[in-house]
Amino acid sequence: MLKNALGLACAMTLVTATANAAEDYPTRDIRMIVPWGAGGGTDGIVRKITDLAEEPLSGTVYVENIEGGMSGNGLIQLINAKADGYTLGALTYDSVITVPWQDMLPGYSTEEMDLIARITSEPDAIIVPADSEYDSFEALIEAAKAEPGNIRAGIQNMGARTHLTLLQLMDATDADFKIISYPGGAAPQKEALLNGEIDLALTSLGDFASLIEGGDARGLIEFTDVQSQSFPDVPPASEHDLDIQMGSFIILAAPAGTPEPILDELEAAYQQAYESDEFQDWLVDVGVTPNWLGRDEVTQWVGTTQEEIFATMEELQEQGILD
Amino acid sequence: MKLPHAFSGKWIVPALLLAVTTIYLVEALQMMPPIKSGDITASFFPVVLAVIMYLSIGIVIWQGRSGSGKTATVDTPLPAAAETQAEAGVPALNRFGALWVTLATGVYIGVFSIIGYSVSTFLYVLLLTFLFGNPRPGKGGRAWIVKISAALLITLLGYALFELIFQVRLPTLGT
Amino acid sequence: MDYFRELLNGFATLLQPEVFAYMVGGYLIGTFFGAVPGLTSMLAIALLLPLTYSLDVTSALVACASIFMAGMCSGSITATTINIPGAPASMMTAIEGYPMQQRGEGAKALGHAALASMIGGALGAVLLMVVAPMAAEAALLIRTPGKFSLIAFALIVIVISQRDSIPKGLVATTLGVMVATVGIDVMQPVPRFTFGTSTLMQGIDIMPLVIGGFAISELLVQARKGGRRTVDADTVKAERIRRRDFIPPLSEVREIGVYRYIKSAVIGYAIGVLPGAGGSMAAFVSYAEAMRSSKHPERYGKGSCEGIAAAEGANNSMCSGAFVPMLSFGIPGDPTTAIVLGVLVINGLQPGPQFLDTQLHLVAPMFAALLVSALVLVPLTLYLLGPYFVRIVSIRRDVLYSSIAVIALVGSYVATYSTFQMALALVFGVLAYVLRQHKYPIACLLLGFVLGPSLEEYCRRALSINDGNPMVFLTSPDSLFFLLLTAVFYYFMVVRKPKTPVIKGVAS
Repeated sequence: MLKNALGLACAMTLVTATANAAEDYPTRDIRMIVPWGAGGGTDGIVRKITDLAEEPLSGTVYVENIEGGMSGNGLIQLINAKADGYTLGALTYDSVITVPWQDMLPGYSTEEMDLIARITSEPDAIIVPADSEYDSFEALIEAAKAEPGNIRAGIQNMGARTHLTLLQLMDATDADFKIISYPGGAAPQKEALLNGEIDLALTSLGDFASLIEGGDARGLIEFTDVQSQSFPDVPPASEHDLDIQMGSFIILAAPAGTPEPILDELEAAYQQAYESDEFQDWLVDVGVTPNWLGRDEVTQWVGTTQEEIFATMEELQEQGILD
Repeated sequence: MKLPHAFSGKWIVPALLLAVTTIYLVEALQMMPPIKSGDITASFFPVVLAVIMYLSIGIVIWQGRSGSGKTATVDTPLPAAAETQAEAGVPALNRFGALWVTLATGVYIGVFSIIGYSVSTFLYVLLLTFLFGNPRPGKGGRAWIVKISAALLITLLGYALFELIFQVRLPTLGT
Repeated sequence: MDYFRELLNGFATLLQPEVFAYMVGGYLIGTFFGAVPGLTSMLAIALLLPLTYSLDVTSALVACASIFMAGMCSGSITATTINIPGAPASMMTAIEGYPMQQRGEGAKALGHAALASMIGGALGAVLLMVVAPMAAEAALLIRTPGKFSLIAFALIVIVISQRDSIPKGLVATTLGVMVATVGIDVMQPVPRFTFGTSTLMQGIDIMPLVIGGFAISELLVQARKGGRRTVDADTVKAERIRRRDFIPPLSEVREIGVYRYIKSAVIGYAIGVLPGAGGSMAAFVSYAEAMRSSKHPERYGKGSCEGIAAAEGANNSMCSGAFVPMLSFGIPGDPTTAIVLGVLVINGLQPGPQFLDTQLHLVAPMFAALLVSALVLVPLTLYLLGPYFVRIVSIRRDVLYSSIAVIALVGSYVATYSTFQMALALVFGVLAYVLRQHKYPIACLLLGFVLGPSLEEYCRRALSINDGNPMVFLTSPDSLFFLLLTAVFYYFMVVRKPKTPVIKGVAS
């Protein structure tokens, strides 16, 4: 009954709007659901680009932070909302991989949404303190093989993205790390790296940008196949003959069944905001990598990403490495 | 008087908590083993909590039994105790006031998103002004006018605060 | 000294009319949000986040700082006058302030709270300006096992500070920790105690618990009372309150002592510097320390000015402390500073080790705002508005309580956008009402809820770092320190507890 009430709550916030009103869309304010907390990384990026997209859209978009359940709470509201283009949402790695994999929301899948675009994608990386004895990726792997389970690697939530990246690395190199979990974003990882509780942290370089620039930490490797422009000292995994590509990303989406013309309009508005100098400069300032993927490609990209990661997870599960 | 007394029965809280803790413990044990391959899991902590809870409820019950007469008199007169003494003079509506407020609030939350903020809030406040104030508005319409205008004002102020100043979207009476 | 010149420039910037207006405006918003049950200063900052696009960074930060500071001390207003703490950090103030209000000393209680807030807030701001980099380094000495012991210390002290009813305190605290385990597990994405429903998967937010535990349970208590006014006319002289009643008598201030004010400020600042603790823990630990070292521990719980001073001094000092790790490492000290970090990021700034050296000109006005709002706005607000605060109780009961009910419930909707959390507020309200009738301390329940998840997280991580060997809590010096501290408190508060019979009602 409560679930119904919740669904109703979403539907009620939207006064009637019909699909053929696409020409003069938007006629009222658009709601953007950010399934993470106010002031966090995802929130900042989505707010920034949304603010810039208002002008080409000639409408107002307001952000609502609906936290909890590893982005699941926001997702429920998004997929239950009326597909009229007046409710949008931001998806992250957890929305696409962790939530469906753990079957946390019965009946949820990315099919329930029309994806608009991917705006950023950030590879995971290995970051060590500046005074670490491991001055290269090889040295780290050698040391991990020499003393299995002795090097402490700080990840975020168990069973989520950074954990999986590390497991893939351990699987590919036969190195063995002691895995320590720091849930709740990169902040506790930073603290642990600074106070020497962990020997390396696993997350994106952008999360540690201020510490890397300040000379307190350095990156060893980035799990991608192209050289990072913002961090030219950090080699991509492909340079070490490793085929691991993992990272976080932000995707904008609307409930499935949103009229095509509206989706096109939204895509165009966000693309214009994305390409603006203001947004690009801002991303450089905060150390985040822009990586646009339009409507044509994003759905397929999500499909293949899911397939690959689910396959990896199944494999790791069969080996008994992952719960 | 029956209901408040049933609620103030000495064993109601320990009994309730024992039941809740038992459900909690069973659920925790069904989740996964508390210790798996040397590591503590997501169910370890809840199991420990349940044990602490049983112990502390045990102490509460034991203390309540051994000092049943004494503790009551040693305690300083607390507002709650004074309340029950004064209860004789309180009108019937107030005696069950807590129950009525609970019911009204429950209904309010239930219809909040269905009939929208404005209507539900107005009716809720109007009802509360009777529960918290003089249950029998005096002769003539004057008391009614005061209560209705207070309800209108509170509803409007809440709307102004959230919708206008902070631009939060409250549910409206829609389709 | 470039550093101090930049700081002075910060004060100059703050005096620019526009920036100054943001500080005062922020302070008033913070006072309102802090005082009204169901609204918190954190919610105010979160709701104002979109505004930060149109503001320059300095004004936005100044506004955030004064909202934060105001929210911490205005919670004491409703805590004292109507026994509903406006924010969880004012729980202790309700325990001491409301009994004073009932004896007709509400104005004096508010005066003590404001004086302590002023001293604590100002000392905290000075510490922030002077020792921030050192404090940030010192905080790194406390690692996961130490943090576990610190949280365990706080929880144990919460229980033993319920001197007459330790078992009931233990029950309430454990229940709070249990409630906090509902939802997704702290370490891994597995649901716990959701009984297969997706509504419980979202976990239980703190707002429903605060609103239910304090506001709704008090409404239910009040619903059983008749009469038109909140308090009988003859017990409270609220109608004839004069401004000078708010000035705490010098004799009492002297009895509290300079040392205790400083100690509260330092405790609050230190807890703020440690990421993951927060205002309610700062207030509580300082309160417990005051109780431990008090000459009159028997007055606690019955209206002790000392208790109010300790709690309010610490929670305002915490504000400044929480900025330290955020500015030095980009690690927020509490949920409010996490949102302020978002304000910086939206403006393209990334706090890190060099941030204070290179960007001090941007944050110096915020430091100045913390100091000025504590030193000037706290006492000024009480002086100007104090008589109106106390007159809250002379508002017609029906109007007062129905507006509290509406704002508290709608506030919990706005904080989470979910009617489910509103329903939870009611459930917890009824639970807290029943518990209060049976003298189970609600403050314990709430602190257990707030600290429980950290306790579990730190415990599990400390064990995983040390291959499941629990000896780590005794072998790490930081952890050992807090365990010994726990033993000291246990000795003073339980073993050597005052044998003198409790003085009934009035303090001497």
